[in-house]
Amino acid sequence: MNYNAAQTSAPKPPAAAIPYICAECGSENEIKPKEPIRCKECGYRIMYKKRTKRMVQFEAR
Amino acid sequence: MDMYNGGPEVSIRALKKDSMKFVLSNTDLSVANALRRIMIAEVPTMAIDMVEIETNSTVLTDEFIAHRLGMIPLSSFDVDRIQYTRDCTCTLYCPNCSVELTLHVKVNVDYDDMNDPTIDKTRQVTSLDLVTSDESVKPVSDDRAHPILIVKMRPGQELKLKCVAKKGVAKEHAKWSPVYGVSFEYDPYNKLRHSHYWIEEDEKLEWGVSANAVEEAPIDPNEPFDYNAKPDRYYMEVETSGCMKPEDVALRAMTIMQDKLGGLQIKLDDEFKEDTQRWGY
Repeated sequence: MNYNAAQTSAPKPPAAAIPYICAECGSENEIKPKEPIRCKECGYRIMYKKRTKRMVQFEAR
Repeated sequence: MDMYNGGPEVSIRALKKDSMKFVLSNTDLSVANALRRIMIAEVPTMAIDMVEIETNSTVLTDEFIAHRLGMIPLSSFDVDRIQYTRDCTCTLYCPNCSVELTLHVKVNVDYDDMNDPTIDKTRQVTSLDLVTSDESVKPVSDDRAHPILIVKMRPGQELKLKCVAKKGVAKEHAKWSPVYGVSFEYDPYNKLRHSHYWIEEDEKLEWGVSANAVEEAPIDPNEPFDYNAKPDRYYMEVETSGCMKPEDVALRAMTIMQDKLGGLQIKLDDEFKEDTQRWGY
């Protein structure tokens, strides 16, 4: 198998926009990779990541 | 060794739903202490050991809630039917070695009451919200008015999780202990002088005798101190978490002690046999 060809020629999936929550105004912001981290509502630059939708496992001890 | 002829004896003084008192007699102090330690740490019970959290928007963190769930005592009358997960043939866990409990609480926002401060909108999530897959293993709460609080929630929050309860012993983690307290006393008059009381002026005035003293004869001041005397009556008290009957805890502990001593005896016999074969003594 030609790994190099697979790496270079495969079309990159479009960068998914990930929702974040603004630490200042609480509004939801969709930010794509490499985009400036800045709230569209208030211009604040600190964002919180949302909780995973996946199940998380813990030891009860 | 001729001191404790006839073997140990037990006489039950009080037996309640979750506590008992008994006198263990005609045996060594070390046996009484071994029994106490086995009741605390080696009688198997069920406890939540794994928590899979799907949603948690409460104020408590996932690991905080997981820890609290682990501490809830579960009824373990039927624990002998369940295998230890490490001995089970399954890969992770299965109905032979575990019991699943689920919890799903979502507090809806009631817009009519939302701004009324006189209404308490706090939802108390308790052990009653845990739904068990096996009726013989469920949170200990015979008193529905006082269940075990897990977390408090406000409108709009949600908690959804699955717990896996496993069989274990308190040697591994204290949550598996069937007892909240085991105590024993011996020699209430301190005839053997094992206790050295700290005093201001007068020992008799400052240190009264315990309730167990009624079972024994007081010190005769004319009798000389017997430095060869050994204790042989132990006033034991057991209080369980409610996961098992106290008499079952004590009986199970005695069985475990017998099994351990049996194993030791077999090993010792093998050792002696080997020595005799090899060295001829």
